[in-house]
Amino acid sequence: MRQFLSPSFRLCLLLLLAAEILLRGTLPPLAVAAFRYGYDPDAGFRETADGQVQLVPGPTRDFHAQTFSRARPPGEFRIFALGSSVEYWDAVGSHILSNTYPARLGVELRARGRNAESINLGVTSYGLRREEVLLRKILNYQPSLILLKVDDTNEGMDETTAERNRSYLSPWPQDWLWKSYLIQCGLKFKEDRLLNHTLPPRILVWTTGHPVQPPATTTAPFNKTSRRAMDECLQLARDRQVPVMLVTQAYVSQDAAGRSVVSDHGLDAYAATLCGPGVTMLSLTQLLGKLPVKETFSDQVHLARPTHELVARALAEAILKMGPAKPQP
Amino acid sequence: MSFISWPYALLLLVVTCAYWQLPWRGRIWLLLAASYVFYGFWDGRFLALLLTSTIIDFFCGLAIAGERRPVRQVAAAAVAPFLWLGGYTLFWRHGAAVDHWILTAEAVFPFFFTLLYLGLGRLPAGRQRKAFLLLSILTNLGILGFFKYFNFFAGSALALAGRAGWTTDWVLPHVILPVGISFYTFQSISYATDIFKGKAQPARDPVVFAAYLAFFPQLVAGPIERPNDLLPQFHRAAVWDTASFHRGLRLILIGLFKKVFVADNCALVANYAFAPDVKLDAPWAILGTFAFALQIYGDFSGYTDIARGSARLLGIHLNHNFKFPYFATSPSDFWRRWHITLSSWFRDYVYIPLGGNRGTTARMCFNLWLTMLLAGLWHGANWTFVIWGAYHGTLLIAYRLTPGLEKFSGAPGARAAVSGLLMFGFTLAGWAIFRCATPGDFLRWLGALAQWHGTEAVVWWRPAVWVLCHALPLLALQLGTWRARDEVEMGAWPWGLRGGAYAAMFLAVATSSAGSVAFIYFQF
Repeated sequence: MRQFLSPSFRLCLLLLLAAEILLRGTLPPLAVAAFRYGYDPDAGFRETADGQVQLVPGPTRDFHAQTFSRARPPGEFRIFALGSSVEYWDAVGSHILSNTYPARLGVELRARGRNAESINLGVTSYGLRREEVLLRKILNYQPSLILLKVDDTNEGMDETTAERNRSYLSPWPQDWLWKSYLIQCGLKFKEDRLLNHTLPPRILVWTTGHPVQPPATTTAPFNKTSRRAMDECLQLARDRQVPVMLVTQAYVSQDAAGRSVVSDHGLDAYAATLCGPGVTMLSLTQLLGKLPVKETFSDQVHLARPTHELVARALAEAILKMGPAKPQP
Repeated sequence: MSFISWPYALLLLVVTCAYWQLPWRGRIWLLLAASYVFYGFWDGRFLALLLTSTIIDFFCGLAIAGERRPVRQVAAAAVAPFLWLGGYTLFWRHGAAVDHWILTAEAVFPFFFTLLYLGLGRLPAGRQRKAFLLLSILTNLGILGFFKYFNFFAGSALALAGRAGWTTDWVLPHVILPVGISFYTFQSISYATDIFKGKAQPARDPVVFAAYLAFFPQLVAGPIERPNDLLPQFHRAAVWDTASFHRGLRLILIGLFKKVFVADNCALVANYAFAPDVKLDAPWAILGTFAFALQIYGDFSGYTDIARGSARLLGIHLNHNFKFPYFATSPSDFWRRWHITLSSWFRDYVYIPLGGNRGTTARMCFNLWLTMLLAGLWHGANWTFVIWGAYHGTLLIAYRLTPGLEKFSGAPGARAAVSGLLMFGFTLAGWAIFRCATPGDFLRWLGALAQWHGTEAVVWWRPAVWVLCHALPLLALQLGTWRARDEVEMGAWPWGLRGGAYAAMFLAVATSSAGSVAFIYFQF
């Protein structure tokens, strides 16, 4: 065996093994859970002995840090807003929680006399598949209303991370490399520190199989998996008798004359088919479509800071029209 | 089956373990079975085409050497492609759309060959050898020409006729390009030609010949081996050599590093820069071409390294295909370093038979230009490849005809550095032609070189950092192996440094998440 493995090959194995052991010894389990890419239902939630739930920002799920009680206080209207970077950021590159529309929604409702609490569960790059995982968790915390974001930007990222999560959990030999902390950390480091800093999304969308996909422009948004996730979300909410409000994303694109226009990628028509008892919708395209694009949006997808306030107000009015919350069964 | 896939890793592991336990005959059968599984993974129907080529070249090779086999043997062998295709289409799923008559023709052709074999056998002995050589060459060129170029030439002719006002409603047949056809047909041609010239002996065992022609590490993208280099290795049992085995593993690791780390990551930038709806400016045109130069080199030389490494694990040596091509100091030097087995094939089987350097300067220039034009066309049925070949032919002629250039580029020191930089610039311009989808796209690329004010919305320098991050480790590897004159030779490195380099390359490969990009040369 000594002859079969050359000294340099033995050293290579030793170096890799030492790095692996070092990482396993030093990395906290929390960081390791990051490689479940948001498919671990409990990631980012910490329940304390005094009955509180803390949302812990970090590599597992990069929430805004927030705290709420495990059981909804009597008479309170509790909203959980599920979404992506549109909800997480208050403008591109800025993430001040109090400026985001899910957080402002609570302020707006309280200003209108409703005892309301609104929790922002927006996580950058999350799509419907991972929102479904989150929804399963937060249904345990007695929501009065779920705001569910309908946005096709992150479908590709959901697919890739689902695949990685599957590989992470898989027992098959072809996935054994994924068990290595060293490779997981190297991959994450390269993506976070190099790929995302040097290659803008416009380049990444050209890559076959890359997480970032060009936004769909057809009238049939979403792939089968996302549609299935949406159906699953609505079924879960229906089973718990929690109303859902679908918030459909608006996108900025250019028309043939080079003017910026706002479109819905066909999401409004799709969301309309889902509306019914317990399910309503708010279209950002309808709400923002006629406003000046430059002042309304930070980029092609993300909202400008004042727009968050506008959306929060529109949501508050829509919620007030829905009437008082039903008691949690 | 791609080298960058788990099925290949499993196949190689199983074949390597079994290979060294078997006697010589068992090893040949194992290689043949593994090669057919490897090829059939892509589209099993085209194994019939490979079988057809094998049968024709086996019997032609023997006939060229003056050895005739009974016609009943030829007829019995001719049944194999037909039986395979019939069985496959009955019991297995179908692949991409291809006209049935094409598949039927490929399976029935050996029957026609049997009749030809019978007919040519009646010729006088002297003419028989030449006739069988012609038959082998024409069959291989016919297969290559039909599958690779029929739609290209027919489409071009129809377009030309349309412009002349003669429109037709002809529909071109559905032809798909079988993987590796350009490589194994060229290997077959060199086999028949070398036997005819007396440089090589024919294989007398059909199983050995079939394993030689279909040898899986080099079946789909080379290196294009000569019969004298490869065939004798199939005639004797390889002896286990630990050092050679280590070299094989190192070749595979370096190949993966070049393909997965360098090529696939640089492809992100190259694909964007050459996309039709990107507004190119000069920095992007240059960056995109530089990224493509790294992509195509990493892709193809990486493939070759994996092929050579896989063969080494089985005790079989394949030829070098690359020797630091971007360090070339002249066009001639470039072709001695880039895709060596193809350029030497064109030199020996096209350029020299055309007359080579013999005759007038004008004749030499014509030979050179025509050879490069054909080499360009070999890369694919597209006018950009033809232009690329013509461009390199022109470079070679200009280099030969300009007095003092040969002396200047061959000098050491600063003059070699200047020559190297100049040649790299010419190579980049060539890659721009090669990468553009149409000649019109190349004109657009040329026009972009004049636009320095920045029309593209995406800033170029950040992606340039990405490309450099993948180019510099490759450059470090090349400089480290430069003294040994072998891209993968790290024998002179201290073992500690070698171990560290292996670990770094392994990590570089394992943490590259650019996604699986197919090998570029699979399409040629």
